[in-house]
Amino acid sequence: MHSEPTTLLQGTLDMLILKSLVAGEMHGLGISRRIQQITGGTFVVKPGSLFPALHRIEEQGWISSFWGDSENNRRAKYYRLTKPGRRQLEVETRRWGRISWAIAQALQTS
Amino acid sequence: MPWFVKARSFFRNLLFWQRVEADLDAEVRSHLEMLTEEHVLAGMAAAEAQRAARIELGGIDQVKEQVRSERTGGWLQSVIADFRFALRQLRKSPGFTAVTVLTLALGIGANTAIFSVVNSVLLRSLPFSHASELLDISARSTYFDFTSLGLSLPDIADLRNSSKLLAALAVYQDSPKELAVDTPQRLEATAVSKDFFELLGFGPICGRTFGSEDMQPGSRSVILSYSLWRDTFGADAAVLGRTIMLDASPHTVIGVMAAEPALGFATDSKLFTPLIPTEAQLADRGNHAYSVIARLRPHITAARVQSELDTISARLASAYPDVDQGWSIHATPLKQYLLGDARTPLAILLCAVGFVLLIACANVSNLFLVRGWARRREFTIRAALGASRSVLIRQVAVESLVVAAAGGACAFAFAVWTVQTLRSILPPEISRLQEIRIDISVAWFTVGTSLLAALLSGLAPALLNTRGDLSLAVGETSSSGPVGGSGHNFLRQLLVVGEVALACILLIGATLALRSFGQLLRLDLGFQPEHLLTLRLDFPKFRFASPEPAIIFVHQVLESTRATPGVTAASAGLVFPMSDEVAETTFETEAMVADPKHAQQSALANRVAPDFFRTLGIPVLAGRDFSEADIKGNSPVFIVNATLAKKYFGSTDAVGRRFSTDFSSGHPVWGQIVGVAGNVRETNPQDDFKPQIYAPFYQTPRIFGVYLMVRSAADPAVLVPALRERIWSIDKNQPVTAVATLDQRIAEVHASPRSQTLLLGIFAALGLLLALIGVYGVMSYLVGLQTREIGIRMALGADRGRILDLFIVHGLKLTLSGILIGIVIGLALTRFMGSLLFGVSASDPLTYATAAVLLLVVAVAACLIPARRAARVDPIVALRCE
Repeated sequence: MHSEPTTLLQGTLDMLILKSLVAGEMHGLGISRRIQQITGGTFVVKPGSLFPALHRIEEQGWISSFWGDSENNRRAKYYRLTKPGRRQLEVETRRWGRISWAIAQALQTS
Repeated sequence: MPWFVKARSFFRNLLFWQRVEADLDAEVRSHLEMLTEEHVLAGMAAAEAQRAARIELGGIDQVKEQVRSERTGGWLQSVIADFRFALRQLRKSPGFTAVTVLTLALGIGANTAIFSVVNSVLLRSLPFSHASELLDISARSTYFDFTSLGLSLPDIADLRNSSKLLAALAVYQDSPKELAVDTPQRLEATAVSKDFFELLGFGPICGRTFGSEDMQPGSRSVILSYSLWRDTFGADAAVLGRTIMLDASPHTVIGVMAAEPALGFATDSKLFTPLIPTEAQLADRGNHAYSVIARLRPHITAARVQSELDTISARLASAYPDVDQGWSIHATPLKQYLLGDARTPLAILLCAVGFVLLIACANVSNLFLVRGWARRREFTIRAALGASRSVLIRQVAVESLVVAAAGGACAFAFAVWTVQTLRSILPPEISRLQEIRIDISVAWFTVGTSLLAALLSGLAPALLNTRGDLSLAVGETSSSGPVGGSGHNFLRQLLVVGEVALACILLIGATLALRSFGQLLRLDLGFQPEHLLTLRLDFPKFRFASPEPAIIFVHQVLESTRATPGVTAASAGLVFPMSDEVAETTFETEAMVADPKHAQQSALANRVAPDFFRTLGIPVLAGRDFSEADIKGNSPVFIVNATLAKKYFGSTDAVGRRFSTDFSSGHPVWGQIVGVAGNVRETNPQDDFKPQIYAPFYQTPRIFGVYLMVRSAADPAVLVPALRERIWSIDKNQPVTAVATLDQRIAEVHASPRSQTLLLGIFAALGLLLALIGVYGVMSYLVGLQTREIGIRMALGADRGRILDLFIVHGLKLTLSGILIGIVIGLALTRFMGSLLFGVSASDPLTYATAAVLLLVVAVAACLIPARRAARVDPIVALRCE
């Protein structure tokens, strides 16, 4: 009932979220800023994509959430990587490595 | 991903959705606040920071909606929301809801009711173990017109030895027994071979079934049926081992069978005795007196058994040409054998209710289309706001599902409530009728039918109503002329044509049944059934060792009966017209004997006492009736019917001609025709008249029992106690059975066509009513659409009559197309009714004309109200009505 045009990008977003949580637990805005930072500003994740992705990943069991206080003493929902999430990140990283290598190869051949 | 993580999320989302929602709301809001804070820290003014944060977030509700659609089980929540919305919509228009639900309830209810019958009668298996492996084995002869006759014991023994496909074979034989309780009783009983119960998998509730020791000559064991044990022996467990007097000899009760529903089979018997044949019976290959039931080896089909039986019967015919020539052996699955002809009428009824459902669905579909047209603005606005087509289709689908579910629920409740009534209108000869009940498979059928109804009635609206056309909805004002949805209009008219066609087929079917039944009622039976009573007297060997005392007894009973006040005539016969029994015999005339290539001819046969023809009201066309002088020792005489006289002697006046017959004497006897009687309808009133031979009862060489025929001046039923007393005053041990008036017996024969006609009539009336509503609906809709056009026409000078004609002609065009289609399909379908029709052809023009005219009249009536409304349109109001 709801089709995403770019599954590759969706998978990529999931991977980036998992990656951003390796350093430690973070709330939604923090994740979004972190992704922006680690991709050198290439990916700007809008809340409209971020929140559905977070909830999807949480339902997969790769991250877990809890309510905590932010640096400015504001109630915020924090996410942290779970063990299956860590494994999933490894899988995704390897897969992405293969894909990017393959695509680079493909684009280099004339 | 482990499934339980997903399942946990699914249930959490479903069960704690409020908490999940609150959590989401808090998260999004906190995010918004943090964004704002970020902007403030970056140096924005508070108001501007808020605005920027909102823009970046992109709308709280949109974000929430996106999260919701990602959730596990999110679709379920949307469907639930759709259901709530549908319920709200339906509650808002109770009239629409009531009409649609009721229409579907009628359609589904009719199907559920008929399915409950089909389920009990055709689908549910017999109450025996592995019942599908059971076969009836019967014989047919080229000499006799019976479809199933018994086999002889030597043939059965050969069959048992040579068949490789039959796992087991048991023999049984009707063997009624007399049991003296308060009055002499004659009970249905069956003599069975040792393996009979074992083969069926039918066991006793106490005691045991027959073992080898019970099958020895001289053994007198008996097994009681549950009903006899309960009704006559007070369900007393001490009955085991007790001695009871059967046919005036002591028998020991060894068991009581479990209760079973009546199946029209040997297991309905009140008593079971061991079948212990004599040496003579074991050797008599010509004695086709034994019924056979067999069990197939696993994975063998009845068809394979049949080809094996063909081989065996061919071998028997060549080995024993004098007795087995012309005989063949046939295997029929037991269920089919017991069902008989129940399949065709049920298939026709199922077809009829299927049509009713289709008409109901067409009507509901039409109503949904009208409503969709009225709600087109809502749909287009929703589409404009971003609802995808699939979401809109789902919404419409859910609405029709809700209506169909409500209809199905009403239908099921209705079926539960009417199942009792249904039993009383169905043809009584359908076996297992009393078993009809609403069980789980009927419930599933209702669910399935409701889903089908939802699909059928929701398909067109789902596709057409959701075809969002923005300009149409937003730009357009409320009701502007017939341009409104030409696709809609075309489809709606098509639905009405289809409905009329289906109703037409139903009407044709019902009219055919009605005309056929009318012919049956008007049928000249050849005798006068009014004020005629029959009673059966049986003369078993243990009371009447030779025929003479029985003949004397019958003579005495007749004398006494004729002397009873109220009796105007009395006689006796071995069989009588419209009884379940027929006797047949073979005969040859002198002309046939002279022809070397002649073959014996068969005829119906009866032995009757004097005054039989006057008692029944059968005219004696020539010669005389039998007299008291036509007794043993005097020359054999016969009376024949007009058909036989004409066919074999060239004229109705065949008095004095001679022929020979071996009727109930075992060897051909030559005799003279002394009278010719009128033709009489035997058992099946739909058959042609057959040749018939009557012989004097008092000359009978063998006698097993007679029917007394008593004609009275008033209601014959009141004579029964007096007649019984008079019989018992002659012989107090004589059971009197099968007491019924001829009118009762004829009502039984008519019961099946009557119920068929009644049910088809009900379904046709339903179909007609629904079609009427359909035509009315479409015509009023058209009038509504064209109000402005009518106004303009009137303003320009069209008179009211013309407007009226315009709409009626339009309605008639639709109806006529439907009728034409209906007649074509009807011609193809009613052929299957042929076997059930009597005296009317399946393509009877009068029937078709009646159905067409009736539909036309109804359609005109349905058009008249909207058309008159159109004709009464006030041009000023119509033009202003925008």
